[in-house]
Amino acid sequence: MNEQEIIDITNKVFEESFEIEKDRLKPEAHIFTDLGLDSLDIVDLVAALQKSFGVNIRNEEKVRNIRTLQDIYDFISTIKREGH
Amino acid sequence: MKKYDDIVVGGGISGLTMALILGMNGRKVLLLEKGPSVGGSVARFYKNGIPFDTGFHFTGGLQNGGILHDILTVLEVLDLIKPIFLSQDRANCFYIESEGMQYEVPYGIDNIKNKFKAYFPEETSAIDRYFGMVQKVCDDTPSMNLRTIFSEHIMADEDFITLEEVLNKLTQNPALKALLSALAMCYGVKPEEISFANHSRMCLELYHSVARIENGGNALVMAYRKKFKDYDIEIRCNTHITELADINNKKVGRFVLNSGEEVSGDNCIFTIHPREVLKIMPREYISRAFVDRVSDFESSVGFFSVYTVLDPDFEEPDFESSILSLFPHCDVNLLLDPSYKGAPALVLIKSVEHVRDKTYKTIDAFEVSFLSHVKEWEDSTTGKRPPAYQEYKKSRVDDIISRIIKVFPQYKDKLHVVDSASVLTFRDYLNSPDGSAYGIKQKMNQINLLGKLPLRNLYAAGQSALLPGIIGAMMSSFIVGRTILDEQKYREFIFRNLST
Repeated sequence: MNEQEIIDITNKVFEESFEIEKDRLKPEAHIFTDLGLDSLDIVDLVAALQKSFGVNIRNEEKVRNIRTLQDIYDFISTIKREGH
Repeated sequence: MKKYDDIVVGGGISGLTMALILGMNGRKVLLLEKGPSVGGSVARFYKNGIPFDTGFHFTGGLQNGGILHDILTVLEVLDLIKPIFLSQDRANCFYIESEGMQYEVPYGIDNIKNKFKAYFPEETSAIDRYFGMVQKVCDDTPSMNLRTIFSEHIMADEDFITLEEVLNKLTQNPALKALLSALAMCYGVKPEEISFANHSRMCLELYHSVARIENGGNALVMAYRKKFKDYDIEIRCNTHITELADINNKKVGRFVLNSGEEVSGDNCIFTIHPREVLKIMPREYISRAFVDRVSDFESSVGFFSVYTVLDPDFEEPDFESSILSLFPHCDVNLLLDPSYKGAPALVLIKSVEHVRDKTYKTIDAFEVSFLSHVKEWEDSTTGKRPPAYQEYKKSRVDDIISRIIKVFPQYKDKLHVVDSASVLTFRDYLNSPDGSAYGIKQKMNQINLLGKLPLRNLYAAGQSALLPGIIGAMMSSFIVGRTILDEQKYREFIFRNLST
């Protein structure tokens, strides 16, 4: 899976699962302050990403450090690379 | 408007436990139950004056030092109930029809290992490795022990491998695989779908001991009710929340009840089925991601049940509480598949019941079933089901009785059917959306609703939250208690009655 595919699928999760307009989905967008997610949404985000990418997300430390969309892109490509 | 510290929704064993934990910690608690009485599937029902168990038949963990023993100690209800331990050398029997072989499974890990090694002398290392892995997973799980419940839960490697994958690596023997996965009947998920870790967490306490409780789940419910009086916990039956109102900064200010009354509470804990939680949450405050997550949960297994009693004059001196499961073959995945058409797995539970001066020998029979088996009548309600449904029930009852007589020929013409229940009966009687016995299916990699919900003062617990059965349901309430209560106080509460 190349980087563009990861970006597209992640953005689709934000568009469809969190109903956020496409033009707000910039890599530097902060998921809490810019995109309006809440700490209570994180577990739903993880569940949606697991489903969309067909991966298991188990490193809770790394999930807690996610701030921007770019962080998510990087996080997913690491998981994909490590073959989880 | 009446004000509470905490509102607990659902009067099953998880809701009762949640309300008691909060009440014992000095909080003003209101428990809401949609049905006419509390207890849920733990409560018994009486027919012709004979008591039968609805959903709680036996449990592990009641031995000294066991999880349930600890839980009931902390809740001060242990002394109010009386465990009846099943015969240790053959607590759980499994008759695998295709092998023509009955396996008697004792309890006590060493006893089980020795018995299995006698049955499968070629498989001693597989047997040792399996029980070693089960023990290790549970030792590493903080929520398997009230003493370590304050530690953060870290997923084990075994959370990411299925039971089936582990068994396939350990052994090629189909009967041994079937026996090691047979307790799937106690959580209702296929070996190819449950993680080895959750399988282990469900099984370990049943490997340590198997017990019934005198007077069944009613004894537990009565013990809780007594404690509710001691701690001034209010119960309202026939009551449910119809609206979450005054939502400010993602916090619910007002709870509107079906009676029209309104109450307020700092927290509200839902111990009901996740799909029922979803129905209550106002759509404008939850994301599509949350809706999808809950909608993706599947159902665990359900049962078609037949409740029988033996002739009062039928003599059988060694009739005692015992469990016998009939597996037509070794493929447990198939036995738990809704589309499987062959003979279902059947669990028979014998019990001796004393009501005043009378003694009854009962046999409850549970055959695996799913909502899809009764789909054509799913729009009907109790008392108004069509004749075709009655025929379905009758033929399934006859079939189950003939299977019972096949294994216990001495009961021919001595066994009387008192009642029967389909998945629809369970659905409607227990207000459970799919009639399943164990809530949602615990699939590997699934993220359950446990703890905080998308609105800040709402929480989820219950048998779908952590693990099924009374231990899983109760433990989920202890975990949520940790989030709501001050940690230092909660620690004192846990260790007040528990030896360290």
